[in-house]
Amino acid sequence: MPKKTNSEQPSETRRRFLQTSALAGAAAIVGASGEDATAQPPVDGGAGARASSTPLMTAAAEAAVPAEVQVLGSNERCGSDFMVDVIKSLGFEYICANPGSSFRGLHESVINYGGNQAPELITCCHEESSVAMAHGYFKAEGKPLAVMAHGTVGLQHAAMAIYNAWCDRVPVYLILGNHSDAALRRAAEWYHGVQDAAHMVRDYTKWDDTPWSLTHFAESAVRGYKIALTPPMAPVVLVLDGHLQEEPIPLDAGLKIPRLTLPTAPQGETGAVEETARLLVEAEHPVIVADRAARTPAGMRLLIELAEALQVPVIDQGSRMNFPSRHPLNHSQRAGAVIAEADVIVGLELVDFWSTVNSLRDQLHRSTRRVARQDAKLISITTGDLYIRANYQDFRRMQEVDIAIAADAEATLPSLIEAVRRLTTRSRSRTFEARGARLAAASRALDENARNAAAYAWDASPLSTARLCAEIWNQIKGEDWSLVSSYYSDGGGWPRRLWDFDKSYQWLGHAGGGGIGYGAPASVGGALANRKHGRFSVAIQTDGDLMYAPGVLWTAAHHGIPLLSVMNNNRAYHMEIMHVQRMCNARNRGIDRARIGSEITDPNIDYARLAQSMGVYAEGPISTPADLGPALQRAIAVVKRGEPALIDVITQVR
Amino acid sequence: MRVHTVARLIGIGVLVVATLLGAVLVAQEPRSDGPALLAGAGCTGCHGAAGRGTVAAPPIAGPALALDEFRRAVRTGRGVMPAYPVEVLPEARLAAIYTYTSDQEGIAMPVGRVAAGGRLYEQSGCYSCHSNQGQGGTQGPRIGPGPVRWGKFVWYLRHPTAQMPPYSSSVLPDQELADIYAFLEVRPQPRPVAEIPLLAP
Repeated sequence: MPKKTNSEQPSETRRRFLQTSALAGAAAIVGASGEDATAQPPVDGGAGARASSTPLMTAAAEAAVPAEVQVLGSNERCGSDFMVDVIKSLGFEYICANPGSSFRGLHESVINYGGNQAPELITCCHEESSVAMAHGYFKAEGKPLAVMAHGTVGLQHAAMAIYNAWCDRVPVYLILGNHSDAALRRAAEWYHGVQDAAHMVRDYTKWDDTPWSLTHFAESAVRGYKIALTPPMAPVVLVLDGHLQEEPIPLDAGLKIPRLTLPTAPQGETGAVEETARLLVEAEHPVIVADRAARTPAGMRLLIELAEALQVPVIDQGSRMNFPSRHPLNHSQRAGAVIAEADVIVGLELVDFWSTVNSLRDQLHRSTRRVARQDAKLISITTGDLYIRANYQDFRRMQEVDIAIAADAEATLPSLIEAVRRLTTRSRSRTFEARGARLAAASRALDENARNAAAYAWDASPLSTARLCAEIWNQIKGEDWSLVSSYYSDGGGWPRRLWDFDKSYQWLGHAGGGGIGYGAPASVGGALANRKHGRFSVAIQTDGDLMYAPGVLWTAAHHGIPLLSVMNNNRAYHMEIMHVQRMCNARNRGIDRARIGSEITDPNIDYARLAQSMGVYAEGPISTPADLGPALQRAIAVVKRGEPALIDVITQVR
Repeated sequence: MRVHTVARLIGIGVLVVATLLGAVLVAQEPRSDGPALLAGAGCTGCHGAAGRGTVAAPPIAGPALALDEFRRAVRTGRGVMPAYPVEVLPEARLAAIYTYTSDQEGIAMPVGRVAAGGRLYEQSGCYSCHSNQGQGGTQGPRIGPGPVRWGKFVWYLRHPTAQMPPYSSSVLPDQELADIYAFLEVRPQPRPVAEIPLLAP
């Protein structure tokens, strides 16, 4: 299939131009070598030895007419310049990458033609970090980041982070470089070249395209953005041919950038919403379970409104910041009891409805049982019913429900609230009031239980995770703070029990796919988003996660991204120890070797020195509880100056 | 109709008080027909002969529970154990069963060694769910200080009912369990929350 650019330049001319450029480049290299040879005497072998290993400019070559050297004419620009115009039209603030020759054209256009502003290039040390930063950034900002990577080796590095974003239904905008035309590939471009670059991640991205022209690129770039941000959101991929990026085009090529109009999210069907409202109003023990429900800050406000209208307990499963942690109707900490009692359960964007109402016992012989009442009415509102893929099994087990509303939960909440208010009689209002009083009392008991539980092992060394989180909270509670670390790095669950979360950016959920290595880069991405808002970003950083790609600490230092990372350093992949231990127990072979293969000791890693080596202020390791508060104060002062800081704390496992 | 209802309630109240009083009195008398009582009430099917526990349920032998606690467990059920309402198990029989099981010797506990228990607590992986001092975490509840009674402790380790992996006697003999139990018993009590400023509401 012939490939054309919109500049209408024949491909044959293009090749001549590139071949000429290549010759000119070779001549320049030879010339430089010749100059070096005359300017600096050989150090170890004399002229004869040097001649055998390094080409010298000969007299004949010096006398020859230099090859034609082509540079961009004053009436030209490059394909990648137009690509930057398109990218700017989409409003990207940053573009993350570590460099790769297959997108060198776009790289140069971003930093020169685009002025390295909107998007600004963020230098990363691993493609997995680039994508995870984009993942964390979106959670804090609600806007996607762009990521550039090689279509082969870069994408292979990035794949795990893309899978995390896919499982978490987070849009990441991937731009891959690839040299499609085999006749023009340099050596490295052969093993960096691929027929179908996006194939590798097609099972866990929502859409991809390989544009063959700049018009094609513009349409696909805008289309891809639109697809990525339409619920259910997910990563998209554009594969950009190297020549399409690098070819000159006339300034007046007449290329058009399509206008972006994001679709509105789908609301639930009126009849089904009305029936849901009726069931909720008539129920004695209704419960709302929310997971990826709050897409925007409005989502949390709407969920509060619905819960308060019904005085119904809410279980926040934590993929998004759905409900304030100290709201008297937040009963996430007693989810089991609430579910067991419920007669109506409404699931809002649940990743796993089945595990909400059932349990699976992980013993030698696995067994399952329903934990909800058999007669409980189950209602789901989720965009998960609108879009599903086959190969990867992140859709979880099929759960029978009584009403399935295939729609966006946040978009459906206004009509559900309106229906609930309309159907609520005075008598039901009194019932709701009494229920609310009981729930508030139970909520106060939960708070008290949490503080009492945190007091155990308060002075222990290594530090308890409760002490770790209480110390951090004590230092940040007066700030406009944002906990940017992953659900899997949340200090044993203590922040959600002890801290007062009431803003959408204070909790960014988790990795989605459970891929370790997400936490550190996602935290930096979240902190990057928080920077312009003046928010104080804090991460509880686990040791195993940081070791996947610690180079992201350098990225934070290099780009002046203020972030306080407090290590939850238990010197092991402890979740895995538990799994191996479970096998040891089940097989009756002894447990004392369960830690082999999962501990990160001997030698212990000095995370403070690791961070310092990359220009990050750091202290530690700290294993005495009383030392932590003052260290945090010193680090916070650094972060407030606009820099990252890290405190290494030796902690108990959970 | 209202007078009738009140009279019925008073009558029921008197009966309950009389039954409870009788139960307490009965509970103080030694029993010789205990095994038959247990079997007749269907307790042995899960709790075994003399209430010493089986794979299906923990031991109830030994003076572990107060009568009120015992009664609450029987009347309301616990986990997979069904509730036994007064119509099925009259109060007098419940009290008699309590007297019998309380008189039985509990599961013998070897003398525990605290230092060895601390080492075993770590080596056996208890810390990975219950944290270093037994204070609990996201994967397991608090188990110290003040662990559950010894018989139930052993039974649960051998036959956990939830996600906890089982510890057979070949992996952790009773003596080593006793060591761990001793370690958990002496974990320090926490300071009152009111004395910890960082935990103020």
